[in-house]
Amino acid sequence: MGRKRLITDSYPVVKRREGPAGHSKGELAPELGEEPQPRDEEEAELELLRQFDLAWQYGPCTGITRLQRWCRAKQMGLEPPPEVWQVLKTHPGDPRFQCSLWHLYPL
Amino acid sequence: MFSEQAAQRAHTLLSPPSANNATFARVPVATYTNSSQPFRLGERSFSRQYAHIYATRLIQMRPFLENRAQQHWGSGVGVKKLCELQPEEKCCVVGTLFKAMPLQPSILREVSEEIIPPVSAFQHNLLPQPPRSKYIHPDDELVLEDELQRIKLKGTIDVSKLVTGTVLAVFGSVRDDGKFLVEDYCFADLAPQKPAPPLDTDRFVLLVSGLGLGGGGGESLLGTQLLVDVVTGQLGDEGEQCSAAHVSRVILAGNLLSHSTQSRDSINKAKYLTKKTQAASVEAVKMLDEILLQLSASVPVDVMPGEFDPTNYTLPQQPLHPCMFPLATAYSTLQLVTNPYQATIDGVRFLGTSGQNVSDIFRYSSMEDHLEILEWTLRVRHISPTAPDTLGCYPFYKTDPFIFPECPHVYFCGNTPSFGSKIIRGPEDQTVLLVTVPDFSATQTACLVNLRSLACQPISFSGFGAEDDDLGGLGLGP
Repeated sequence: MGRKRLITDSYPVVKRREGPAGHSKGELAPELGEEPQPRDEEEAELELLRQFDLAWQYGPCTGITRLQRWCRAKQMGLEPPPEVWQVLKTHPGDPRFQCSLWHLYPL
Repeated sequence: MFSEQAAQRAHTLLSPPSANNATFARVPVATYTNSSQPFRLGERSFSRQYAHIYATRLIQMRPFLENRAQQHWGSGVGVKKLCELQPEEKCCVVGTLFKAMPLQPSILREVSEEIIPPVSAFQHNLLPQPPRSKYIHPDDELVLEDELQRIKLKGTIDVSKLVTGTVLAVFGSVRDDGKFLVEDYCFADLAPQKPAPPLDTDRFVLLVSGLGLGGGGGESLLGTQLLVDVVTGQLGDEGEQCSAAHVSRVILAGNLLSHSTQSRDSINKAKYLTKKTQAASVEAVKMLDEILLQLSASVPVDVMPGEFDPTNYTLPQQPLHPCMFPLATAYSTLQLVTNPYQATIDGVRFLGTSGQNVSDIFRYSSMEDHLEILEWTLRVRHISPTAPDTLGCYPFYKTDPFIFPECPHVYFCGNTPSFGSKIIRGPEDQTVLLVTVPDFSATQTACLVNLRSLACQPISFSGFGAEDDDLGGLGLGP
């Protein structure tokens, strides 16, 4: 007997051809050289913002935007890191930057 | 003082009409500023948790408490966080109190479907708890919470008196059982106060609360009309009219409508029975509009909403909408203000509420006297510590507006069972007049505050009712 009939048998089988080095994403790298660097920087900035969210000194982070939380911490004299404000100012309107870590969860 | 002034003038009633009529100009309000801006809400968003209020409350109050702790227990006392506590080491901790009360009404307990026999005597799983006047119990426990941890408290701390949400500093040490043994504790005490400029003439502010319109009782309507007549100078001799001209402002502190206007029987009835009936509050608001028209034609009036008034339920209650008072809003002397109301009248700072904060603390604390509770809120430096826990509150996130930024000169609360007034002193020579304004529909009493001497006097209006047997004493009986 063959193997059990799976629902995926009704779909055509498509196998991706692996590149010689084993990675298929690496093809784009030599053509557009700037992409990985901004991504790394962005990742570093997002990581900075995530650490700001998780810092307990500035109060709860859910339900308010990071900018609101930073301004509240500033008004209360808690001296939040100015780098966070710089990052928030350079990416206005981007929900990955502006909203807190848990904004996808209701309340 | 009011009636003594009145008695000094010559009697002019019961005399033939005179050619010239005496006129009394009302004392002008020299300076008035409404500082209730922190209690005004613009865009409201309820998609936030209440953790923000508690966090900002603790962060804002921490410096005050650390100062007081150093004043009480010496400047060398170590103020530590709960995570830094070492066993058996005496130190001071600042945090928010939480009182675990088994009798506290809990919606989860009400809707829980467990039919397991209750473990403790006071778990009613099947029936909702009937409303009680006090929810305290000898088994209540106090827990201190700071930003990261919580710890149970035991020792010389009055569990029944304190309520959830108070920020305080405790001095003691943590024991082996994990509880903190309290030796002493202190509150933030009174905020700094700017001295009031001295006044040269007597000026009065009339505080009334609990008019209770729409309640169906004719007694209180007579009292209300007498009040309006006295203030507008239509009652009494020239002496009384002269004294009434010294009343520079009237503050109506909440519960303008009666509790019975809130009855929701029409919800349970069928639609065809209730189609043409109006809500009871509509008629009551019309009566209120007429009373406010008479008052605001003569004196500046500030109207604060209360528990039964048509505005939002959560604190801070927003001002009543001017569309409900088409007649009275024609006068600019009518001011519709928020529930915790703050204003500076002739240099004297007034701060007051309609009484929801004090009655909520009354329910969850062993303190019996409303005046004592009012003083306690001032000493704790917070208008309503139970606010998000048992009293509805807007989810603030930036600041907690109920913390006293500075100490008022007159601090009042409305809708208390009886009149009371007291002058208290603070540690930095602050002087505050505390006034508990009684419910007018029950007691027919209002309060007159003298701005020059910061003294308060009750003034009561009563008519002879059918059940009064005082008529016998007047010699009118058979």
